[in-house]
Amino acid sequence: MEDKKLNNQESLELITLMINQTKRKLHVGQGNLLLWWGYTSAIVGLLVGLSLLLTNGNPACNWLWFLIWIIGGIGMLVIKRKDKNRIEKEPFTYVDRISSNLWGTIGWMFVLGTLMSIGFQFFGKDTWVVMLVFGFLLAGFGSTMQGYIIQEKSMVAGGAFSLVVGTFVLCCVLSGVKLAVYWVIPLFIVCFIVMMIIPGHVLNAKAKKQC
Amino acid sequence: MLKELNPLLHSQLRLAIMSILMNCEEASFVYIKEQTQATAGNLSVQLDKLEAAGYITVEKKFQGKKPLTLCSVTDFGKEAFEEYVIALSDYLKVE
Repeated sequence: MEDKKLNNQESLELITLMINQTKRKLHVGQGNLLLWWGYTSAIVGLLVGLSLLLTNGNPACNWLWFLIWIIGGIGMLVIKRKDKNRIEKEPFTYVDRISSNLWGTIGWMFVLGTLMSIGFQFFGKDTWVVMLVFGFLLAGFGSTMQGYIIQEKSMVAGGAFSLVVGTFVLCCVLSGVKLAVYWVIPLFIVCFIVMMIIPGHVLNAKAKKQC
Repeated sequence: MLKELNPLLHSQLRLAIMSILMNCEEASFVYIKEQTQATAGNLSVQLDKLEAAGYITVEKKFQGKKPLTLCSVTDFGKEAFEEYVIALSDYLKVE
């Protein structure tokens, strides 16, 4: 391409061509972050559930939930570091910015929720369930919104499922229904499978097909 | 009376650069070069012209040891591009 003058028709065609060329494309590994958080949450959920069952519900087992932060956080840093080189080959779009801000906000909400929950623990209040409800609702909301932003139906459906489950669990808590490990933990695992693991694999498969 | 087309944008490479940047928040020099298939020298000159007009910002930084040049369109550049497209569509209606 050179610095030549164009006629009006050529100008319009050039604008259309450039816009089409820069349309957001999926890239290989698009779903990796979702898969990482999804698998980490599901496996840690399973670990917590088994520990609670084996120790007859010792509340100390709930500290294992923090493995999600540790393993998930380390993995996220590694994936993001690898992704940094992408900026040279692909543009940073408005969709990227919105997605990044959305998950950033949700991440901070989780951090604040966790800190508040720990604070209450020091006063002898058992608030682990708050974090569980947070997991269902915040992650579900994030997945649904992200699904709408990137137009991925599996994410919208998975996130909506988790939102419904989260609302149900919240209703149980507020109405004094006891949350039993044998049904709450499997629900937690299923939610992370449908809102992160399945969409993560779907996105990676689509990206592979597109590239 | 038809408005005159902005001469700064009515050139192939500068219009291509602006069209790319209008569609994203940030794009690297390497990416724009690939999309426009322009030479590095020519692209640099045109980016300088757009930057001097206040249409784009060019940020030069390092990613590890590699230099990275990122370009993004300014609000003034967005307005200019939108005006250009409106003027262009008026011309096309007349034609």
